[in-house]
This record gives sequence, structure tokens and C-alpha cells, in this order.
Amino acid sequence: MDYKAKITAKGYLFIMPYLVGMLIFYLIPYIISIAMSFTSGVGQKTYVGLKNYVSLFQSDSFLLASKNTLFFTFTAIPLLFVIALLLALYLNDKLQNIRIFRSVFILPLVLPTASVILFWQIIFKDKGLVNHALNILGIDSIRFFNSEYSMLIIILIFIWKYVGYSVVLFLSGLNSISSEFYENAQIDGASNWQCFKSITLPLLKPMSFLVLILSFVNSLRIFREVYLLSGAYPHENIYMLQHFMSNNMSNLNYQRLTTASFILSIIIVTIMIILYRYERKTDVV
Amino acid sequence: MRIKKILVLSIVLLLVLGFMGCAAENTAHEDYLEEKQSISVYLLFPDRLSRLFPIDFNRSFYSIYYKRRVWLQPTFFYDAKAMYDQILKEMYLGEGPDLIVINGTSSKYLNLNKLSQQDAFADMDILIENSETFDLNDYNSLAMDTGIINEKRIMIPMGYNVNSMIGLKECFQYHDIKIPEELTLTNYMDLIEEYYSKTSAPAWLGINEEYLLSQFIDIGEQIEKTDELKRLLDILQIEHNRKLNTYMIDFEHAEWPYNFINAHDYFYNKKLLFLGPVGQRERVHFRMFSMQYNTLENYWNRKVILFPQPIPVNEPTKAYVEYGFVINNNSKNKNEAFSFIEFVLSEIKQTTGSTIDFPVRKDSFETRKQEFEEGINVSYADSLGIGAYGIHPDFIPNEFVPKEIVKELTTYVESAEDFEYIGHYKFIYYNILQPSFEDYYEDFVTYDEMIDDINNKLKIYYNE
Repeated sequence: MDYKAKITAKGYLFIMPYLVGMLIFYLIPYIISIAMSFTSGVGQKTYVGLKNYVSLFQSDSFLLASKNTLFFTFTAIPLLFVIALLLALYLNDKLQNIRIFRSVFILPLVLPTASVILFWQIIFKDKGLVNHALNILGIDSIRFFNSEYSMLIIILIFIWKYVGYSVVLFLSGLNSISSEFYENAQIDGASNWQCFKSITLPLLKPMSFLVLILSFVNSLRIFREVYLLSGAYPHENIYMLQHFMSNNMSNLNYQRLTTASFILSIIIVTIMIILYRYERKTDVV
Repeated sequence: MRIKKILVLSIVLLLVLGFMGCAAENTAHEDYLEEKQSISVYLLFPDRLSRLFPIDFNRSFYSIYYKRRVWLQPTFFYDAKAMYDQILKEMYLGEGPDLIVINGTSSKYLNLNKLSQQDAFADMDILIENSETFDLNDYNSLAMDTGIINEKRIMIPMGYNVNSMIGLKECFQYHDIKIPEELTLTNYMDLIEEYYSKTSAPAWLGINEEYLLSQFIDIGEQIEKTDELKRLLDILQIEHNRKLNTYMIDFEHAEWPYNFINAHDYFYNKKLLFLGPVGQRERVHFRMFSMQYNTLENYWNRKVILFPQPIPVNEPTKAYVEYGFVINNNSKNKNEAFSFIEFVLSEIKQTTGSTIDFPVRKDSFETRKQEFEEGINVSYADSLGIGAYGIHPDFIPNEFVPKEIVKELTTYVESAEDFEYIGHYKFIYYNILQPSFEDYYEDFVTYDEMIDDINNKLKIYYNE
């Protein structure tokens, strides 16, 4: 075996544990679940073709869940991005040498979800702090978790949980930009806005892309918080795809679940491909 | 020394032979337990199903169909959720217990309606056809038909019941409230409101509100906004807010069984207009309560009145099926599992098996009714639904047997025309409706908002 082949073989050997794990825990189950989406029944399954897909798109619950999930994704992620970037820009100068704050920003991520939910319930529940304040001001209580405001609260929880992590990523991205660029720009008379638009944003692109990808992945995990807050059948505004899938799992309707998850995976992959392609096209050398 | 050696060797030899003998016996026993002669079931510990078996807990029964003993292999769980999660997981993997018990607990976790759409359960009509001894005509057809879900008979009920409450004549007289001759939902609500206006206290404890509310909700349909439903919910709101009342706090925070003893204490001290429905656990508490009050005269002379569950005017009398069996469609022992159902529904078991429900078997129902009227065996009072009255048979002297009460209850049961498997409703109640009702009780929403909220959730549920 020549040297190159040896190195290649060694490389594969090192990544073999990951590949095997990926195969066993992701790829094979994924293929099995796709196959399952063309069957029906419990135990002994029968092939039904595309019947599950047709009935899925005829299901009002699925369409509602899809609409809510897409709305949440395309509202919460841009908001998170903007807030995190602004915070990072603000804190970049002030907290450059105070590393402890970076740990503080990560805290919401490491706190147990149940504890976090308890905290939000104390604030926003029907007899919570906010409603108490509203009552003092003579305003009627608002059912934050069970009304048209429920999506707003979920977006708030999502941003609160992940903004710190995104800020830390942006801060590391900002720190990697050489100050020479800004100095040269200031010498040339560029304003702060021009510096931001022409230097910060383009050079922050790789980190922005990472923040976007991670936020997108995390947005699909908001189901935990919603489930703990409102159970299996929440208000129609926050009934997500994961609720649909979870409830079908309880009814042993795994075929419907896998059909919905396959469609969701296609959407996720499509969005990822678009993002990657855009990132490569606009990559700053 | 030599004798000692011989003695030791003899003892060792005896021990070895003894163990070998046991092993041989066990092997013989295991050989007898052929796979097809045993059926598996998952049970919560403790489970009253065990009362159907001999005291030595052989957990076997004589199968009329197979004309031999069939062994039941129960696996006990201590947590209901864990048990039903396990059942669902195994069923999906093509396994699971042969027999699944349907009861009040399972209703919250097993959605028979949706599971039956997945062909999760065996078709009982096929098994009935295979059986040479089981005849559907021997059983109350209205009760048996509650097992037909999505046009397939998947469940066989063990018994049925009507909800009832007890009232205390002294309490009615004390508060100057007229005892109704017939209790409809409307005059029931009138009584509650009248009592509340006179005492500022809730009028009853223990009534399962889901049974009352189920009359307004058709499975598969949305809830209509009616004045009667609103009125009932307003009354239930009083019950919900009972925590503000000092003596109700004793009930809320006391540990079992003292909370039920407290409830009976309030009832017999004229602090409650109605109590019930009471089931098996409450009968234990009545026994303890009777000990506390020492004399049965004190008990019986209070003149307790039985009321059937109030229903709307012009509605048919309703009976509920809550307990039954389904057979896992993955089971390789379906006929054997069905033979167990035959055993439970056999004449002897339906007549003598202690249950809080009325027997589904027609001849057993008549036998027990007749025997009770003749005062042959007071313990049958339990099986004739006297449990609904809440008195433990051991404490009923014959001269105080309330035959009139039992006759009344039996007449009511016999007149029932509308049989319902309450499990469907209970699943929806606990998983979807209850949070919305509680929001209304806490004055967070108006009646219209609550109904709209529920209907939106039901729409999601039905379309999943």
C-alpha cells in the first residue's frame, strides 16, 4: 500500500467510530422510517403506497402545525440573529476582557428545561407577575399561554434561551476581525455605519452562518418548552409539528409520524442546502 | 469416626437427591407450562383481577373451551404511565401482552378509538365465532355493544354501572330543602344552588364531574354552547373553589384514607347535601368510618337516600361501561386469551365474583338480584351495585338491609337504555378538556371563550 493510501486508510480508521454510530443511530433508522411511511398497521404492517402522504396533507391538524412551525422559525430566528448581533456589538468593547460574562451568557442553555419553564410560568401565568402588574394598572389579565399571545411568549423564551450563546459566537467572530481594517477605514473617513456594513458584516459572515444554522436546529427543539407549558394539546397558535408527531406516537400511528418527519427532514435539508450555497457564493476570501 | 463419615455422606446424599427431585418437579412443571397454555397480562399492583383466582394465586383458570387449565402470567407494575408506555412500545414492535385490561386508569393512557384505527386489537367477533361455548345472547347486548369501536368489536366489558349519590334526609330537613321525588339534572342544580344560597358551602363531594359533563359532549363532535352546560359549569366552579372553605381543606390536604373519612364526617354532620359516587376504596373507608362512629344504628337511622346520577330531562337513563378486556392483535394466543374472557364472563364468576359493577351476564344479574331480595347472601350486595351506596356488606345487618334502595338502583339499571364506554370521554377529558374547564373555574376566561378554546383543541385532536 502506498503512502497516500495508508494515510487515507488511517483517516478512515479514526473516523470509523463516528461513521458506525452515524450509520446505526441515524442513517439506518432514517431509511427504516422512510420505508415505514409507506405502510400501515401495528405489528404486521401492510404496504399502502402514498396513502399516508395524501392523508397527511388532507389533515387540518398537520397543516396547522406546519404553518405554526414555519411561522415560528421564520420569525424567531431573524429576531434572535438581530438581537444577538446588536448585543455582541455593544458588548464587544465593554466586555472584551471580562470572560466571566461569557459563562453567564451560556447559563440559560445549561439550566434544566423544567426549571426554566417554572420561571417563565411565575412571570407569565394567569396569576403571575406580569398579570399582577397589569391588574394594578387596571388592565385585565392576559392568558399568555393560551391565547393569541402564546406564540409571542414562545418566541421570547426561545430568544432568551439562545441569545446568550449566539452573542458568545458573535463576540468570538468580532474578536477575530483585525482592528487594522477599522483603523484604515477611519483614516479613509468611513462612518461607523459604513464600517459595520463593509467590514464587520462581511467578515462576520462565517460566524453568522454558524449562528443561523444552530438557531435553525434549536428552533425545532422548542417543543420541549411548549409541551411543558401547555401539554399535548396547546393553544392552536403554538401547536407545532412536534406536537402532531408526539400525539400520533401515543396512538401508535408511527406511520403518520414518520411521514410527517420525512417531510420535515426534506424541508430542513432544502433550507440547509440553500444556506450553504448562499454562504459559498458570498464567501469573502 | 467411621459412623460419623457414613452419617455425613448420607445427609449429603439426601440433600443432593432432594434438590434433584425439586429440579425434576420444576422441570415437570415447566414442561406443563407449554407456551400455548399461558397468556400474559400486565397489571398494576395491587389489582382486583387477582380476586378472580384461587387464594393460592396459582393464576390459572379452567378454560371451558380448551377443557384444561390455562395459566395466566401477570407482570406487575407499580406505575400506571410506565405500564401503558411499555404496552404501547411492545405493541408497536409486534409484541406486548396477550390480554390488556381496560379500566378507569387505562382510559387516560390508552386511546381505544385511535388505537383501533391502527388495528391494534383483535376482532372479538372472530374469536366469538371460533369459540364453541361463548354466546353473545347470554349477555346484555347494550353493554356488550359498547365494545364495538370503529365498526369492530374490540372490547368485551366485564360489567356496567350507573352513577349514583347518597343524600341524608336529616340534612335536607335541617336546611329546609324539599327532597325531590325524581332527580333530574335541572332540579339537581336547583338543589345545589339552594343549598349554596343557604349555607354558602358546596353541596357535594366526590361526584365525578366528568360523568356529568359527558352528557353534553358527543365523541367525535364539538361541544354546543347551552345554558344548561353553563349552569352546570358554574355549579362545578363552586366545587372547584371549595378550597376557600376551611373544612374542605381538611379533605383536600388530609392523606388517604382520612380524607374520605373526613368527607363522610361532613356528610353525616349535615355539612354536605350529597356524597358519591363511591366505589371500592370508599367502602373500606366506610368500614373505618363505621368503626369510628361505633354503631350502625347511628348510621342507618340517619335515613340515607339513594339518588341515581342526574340526567337531563327526556334523556334516556344512562349506564356506563368502564371495565373490560381487549386482546392484542399481535398475540399468538388470541384464542387462549379469549378463553380467559370466557372465564371472567362465565356464570359462576359473574354471579359470585366481587365487583362494583353489575354483571353483563343476564342470568347472573337475575340470580344475584333474586338472592339479594331473599336475603340469602348479603355480600352479594357488593356485586349488585350496593357499592354505589357506599356501605360495606360486612356491616349491614340483615334487618337493616336497604332492600328498597337496592331495588331502586336495580330498577334504574334495568331501565338504562343508553350504554356508553366512558373511557373515550375520559381520555378527552383528562388530556384536552380539563385544563380549559379549570381556566373557567378560575375566572380566566368567559364561558364562550372556554367553549371556543375546547372546540379548537377538539378539532385538532379529531384531525390528527
